[in-house]
Amino acid sequence: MTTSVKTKKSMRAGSRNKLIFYSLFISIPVLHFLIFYVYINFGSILLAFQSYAFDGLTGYTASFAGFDNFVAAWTNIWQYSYRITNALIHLGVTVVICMPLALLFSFYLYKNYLMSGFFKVILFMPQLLSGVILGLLYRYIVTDVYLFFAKAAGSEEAMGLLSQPDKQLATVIVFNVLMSFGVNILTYTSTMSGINGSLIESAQLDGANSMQEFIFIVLPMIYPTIVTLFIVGVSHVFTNQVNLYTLYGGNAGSNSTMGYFLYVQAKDSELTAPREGVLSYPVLSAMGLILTAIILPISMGLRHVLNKYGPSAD
Amino acid sequence: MKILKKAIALTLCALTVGSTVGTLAACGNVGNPYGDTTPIQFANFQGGVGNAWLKEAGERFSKLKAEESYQNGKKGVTVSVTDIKAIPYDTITSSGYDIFTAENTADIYKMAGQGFLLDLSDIVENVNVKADAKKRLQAADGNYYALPHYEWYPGISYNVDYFEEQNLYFADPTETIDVREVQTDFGTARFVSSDQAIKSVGPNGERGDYDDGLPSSVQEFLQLCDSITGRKPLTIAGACLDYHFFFIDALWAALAGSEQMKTIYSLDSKGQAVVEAVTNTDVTTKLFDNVNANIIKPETEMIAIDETNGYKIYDQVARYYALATVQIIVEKDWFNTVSIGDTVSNLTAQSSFMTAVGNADNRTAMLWDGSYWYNESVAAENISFHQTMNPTNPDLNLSYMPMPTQLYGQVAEGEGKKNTLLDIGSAQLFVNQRVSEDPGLERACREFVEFLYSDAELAAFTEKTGQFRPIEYSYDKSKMSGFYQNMDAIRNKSDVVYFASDSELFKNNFTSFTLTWSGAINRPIIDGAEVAAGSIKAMRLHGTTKASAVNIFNLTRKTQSGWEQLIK
Amino acid sequence: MQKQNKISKGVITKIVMIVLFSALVLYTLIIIGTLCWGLLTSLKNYREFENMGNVMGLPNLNADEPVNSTAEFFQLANYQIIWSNFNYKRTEPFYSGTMKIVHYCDADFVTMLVNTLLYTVGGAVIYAFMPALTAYLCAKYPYKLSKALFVIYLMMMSMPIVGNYPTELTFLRDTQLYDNILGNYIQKMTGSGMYFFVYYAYFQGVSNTYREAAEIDGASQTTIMFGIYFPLAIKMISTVFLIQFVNLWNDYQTPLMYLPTHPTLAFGVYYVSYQALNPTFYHTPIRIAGCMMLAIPIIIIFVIFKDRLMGDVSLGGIKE
Repeated sequence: MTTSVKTKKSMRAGSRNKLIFYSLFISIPVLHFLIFYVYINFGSILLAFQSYAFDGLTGYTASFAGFDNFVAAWTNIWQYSYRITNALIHLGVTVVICMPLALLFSFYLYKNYLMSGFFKVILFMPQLLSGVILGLLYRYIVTDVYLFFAKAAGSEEAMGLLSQPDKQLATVIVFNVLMSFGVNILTYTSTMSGINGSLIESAQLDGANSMQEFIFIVLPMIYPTIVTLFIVGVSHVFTNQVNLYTLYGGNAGSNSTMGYFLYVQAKDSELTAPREGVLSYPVLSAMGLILTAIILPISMGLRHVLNKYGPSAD
Repeated sequence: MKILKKAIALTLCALTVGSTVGTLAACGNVGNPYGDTTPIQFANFQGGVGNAWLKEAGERFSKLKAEESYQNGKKGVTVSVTDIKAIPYDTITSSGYDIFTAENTADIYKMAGQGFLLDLSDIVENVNVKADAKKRLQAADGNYYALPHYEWYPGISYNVDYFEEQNLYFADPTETIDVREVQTDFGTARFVSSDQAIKSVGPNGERGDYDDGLPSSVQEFLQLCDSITGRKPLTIAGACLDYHFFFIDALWAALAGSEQMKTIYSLDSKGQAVVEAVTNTDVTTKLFDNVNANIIKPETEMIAIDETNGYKIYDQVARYYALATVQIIVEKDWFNTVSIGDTVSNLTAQSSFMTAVGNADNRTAMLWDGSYWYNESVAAENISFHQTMNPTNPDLNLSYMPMPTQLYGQVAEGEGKKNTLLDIGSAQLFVNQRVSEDPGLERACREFVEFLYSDAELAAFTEKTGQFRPIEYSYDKSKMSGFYQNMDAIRNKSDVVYFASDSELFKNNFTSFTLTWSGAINRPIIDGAEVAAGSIKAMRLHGTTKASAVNIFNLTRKTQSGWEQLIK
Repeated sequence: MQKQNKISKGVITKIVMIVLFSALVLYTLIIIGTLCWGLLTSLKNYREFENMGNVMGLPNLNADEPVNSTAEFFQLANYQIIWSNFNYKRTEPFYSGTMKIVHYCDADFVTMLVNTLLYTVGGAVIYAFMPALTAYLCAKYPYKLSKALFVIYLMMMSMPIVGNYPTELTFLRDTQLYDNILGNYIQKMTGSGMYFFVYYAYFQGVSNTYREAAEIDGASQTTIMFGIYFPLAIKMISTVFLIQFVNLWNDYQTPLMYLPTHPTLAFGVYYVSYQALNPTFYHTPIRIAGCMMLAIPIIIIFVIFKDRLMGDVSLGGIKE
């Protein structure tokens, strides 16, 4: 009896210790979530309904703005809808070009074809060296090197590719395609390497060629990973800056995407608009909420549809 | 490999810990590099005049005052020069600097009102500062809190040698023999074909001076550009397209004249209808026959300016003509193809403008840059590079180009307009009020400023840098470079408009009237995005339909509602 | 027929392989070509590049010619210029509530290196450790909060929140966490993100027997976590650390936004290329030398740790 009571007591003490330990350590990420996610996003909602006045002596004073900020934000979004168009174009490129290429390259590496190890390193380079270095080098190449070859070919061309109105977008897209591999390749190859080898063997015995292997076995097996990365891409359509800041600094002009526009504006802005052409923080918050309200149901819906109707491992 | 990995990991840790400790340890005094002399911390604007003149002046002053004691236990003075670009105006008193020079952004009126600046009235009264420039130095209490630094003018410079080689000077109507006619899209250009030919009188209408043969109208300027074959006529640095306003403001000022131009600062034409303002741009008449249909000739009227209609100061048609000229230049693709590459700096552009290097002969007739550009080139060793590459012909003959003073035709003798130069920034020198906390330091700073503005040092400054101050003083021109000797000749026959005014509205809203980089007038908003690099960038990026001259003109005019907020 | 099918299968496989191989070769040439061009340009005298128009050729090493690149090539003169001339000054005033605060910065190359180490090493440690900690707690302590946190993190990954920069900046300024390293570390202390799921899958796969045995021996929960489970996961944690280190090393936009007076080397490279007003940096070969200076340390780390960096990072544990 005593032993059983002691065991029960020590078990309760053990459970209590566990709970204390758990509470202590889980409090950090929970607190972080509450502050930097819940409070910040709730703050965004509140900020979107406020307007500020600035007094050199007392600083900023807030007042209720009703829906004025939302009206200003929506007007700006609608009036300069090219930013949304550009964001969608880049998303389209990601889905139609980058993802298929990444999958095909990953398949190549997974199959251990010629020079796979070397190509794996090269494909990882953009992740390693990142947008700053490759972006700046790319910028000089599409200007200085391009003009060098243009001149050698007898052309009178004076503008680098990033400045030519009819070629800018393509130039930015090419850069983003080049930069799009890296971690995605690693993720796909890692997931592919988790496919049961006997499935592949039996398919080969049945006479499947490599494309059939890819389409009918590999893709369905890694489909959840593809969906995850696709949904992440869709949900970030309005935050993706597509490396514009590296290529253009603060002046991407008509190449801007929403993500780039929001970053540049936030960097230069204050609670009151510092000058014409720069939106205030409350208007930017309202804009963020509008864009979230647009993309959230789309990405959730897409995720549901893709998971429900996509190919299954079975 | 394992050992190497461990070593790297440990090194990384050590570096991080060391950095943290080092950063903390670095807070604090690291010793006195000035010995037992009184240090004067001089924040020199890193711009067109460099710092060599200041360092040399500092050394001369130090020698002069070697035995003077300003602070207890110290003898002599050391002037410590730091080049800065972004002056911390809001926090100047705690910046750690004693004396400042600024190129175009210093709001003396405001800073003096905030108590940031030392009263320099006693020094200013002993320096013969030009009346207009003096207005910029004064605060609300009537005292003076700054001294004028250098004048600099936006515009274009041209290669005199190149003009002579290629016979690019316009011929006088009376010259009928040594004439070279060239058909251009802007009419028939008549250039001289020999040294002996009679050149036109130039924009100022006076024969036998610095501007003979230069384009006297916008039409002649376009004819000049259109007639240059084999290479492009203009060089501008592709990484510095924000220099767009150099040409625009120079041409605007020359076409408008000083009386009209002054109203953009004075906000008062004294009841005289001297301003030709645009009233309607929704017209179809083209400015020139062979140009884009959207380069129109607007309707105008003559108006007087005062503070009630001050929002019309940027409605001057001359400004529109300047923008239209820029649109033509962009559409005709008259920029040097190499220099306008996006990554080409102003220094590289200057070098390629003046120096032919083998296959990379990118010399052009004209350079689009501020009047201080030659100084920058000297500092960047572009001049010595030219001499190295041209040992048999090392001398350069370059000059600032006075702008056309009318729209069409050629200026007849006696009918020209005096050249107008825009001292677009009105650079200044001012002293941190905080030096007054230390009487010795204050005395040292005052004496150094007095020294800098003595006749000998004023002359030394101009002879060294080629830049002028809006002060009456003399200097030895022969000690200046050829470019600045030419500049001197031009300046002496020009009206200089200073970025200064008696208007309280102007003084209280200084930043609203600037024509330099930070001015809203230079940053059109196209497609909801501010094009900080200005009109040329806007035209190239957005095309000249969306970013036409007339659109940019209209977008950058002041609005009545904005003006009413200003005068509230 | 079977032989025909075999031939056909072999042909298709070969075609697929050739096409992909060609695409990969093209990609390789672009990346390697870019880096080689960058390296070559960084070893050229700027006059040779800009005035002589030597954009694509090898540096001129003929010391007898007036324009040559012997100093740049043999003494890395452009790199020396970056090292010795680099300076970034900034004043950053902002309001914390109604109180005006001003931060200053006067950074040379060494200061930027210090900032970079603090930002990257500290940040990478937090980014590697916090998700591991959270994932361990969620995987091994099946309380309701654990399950709730898992679902919340899942939703956060696929739920986009747009445009919360303004609120975050305002919050950081009001709490004076803006523009300081400690504040940046606190910002990074999230347990969420892709690696949470990676760790979660891992910890779920590790047997509870270890903990039970340790509990019997009287070990505390802290000892179990740090003494048993984390050492087991150390390879994964160090891999994530390396990946995050590389990411943070190259990140310039976050310091630009949240640490304006603590510029890192990545920002320095960006600044030299775009914003530097010192005429020394106006030349392309010198700017590219700055780029290469940022690249070289990371390439060295990659060469040594490439297996770790390119290791297995499958997104396990997130399948619904």
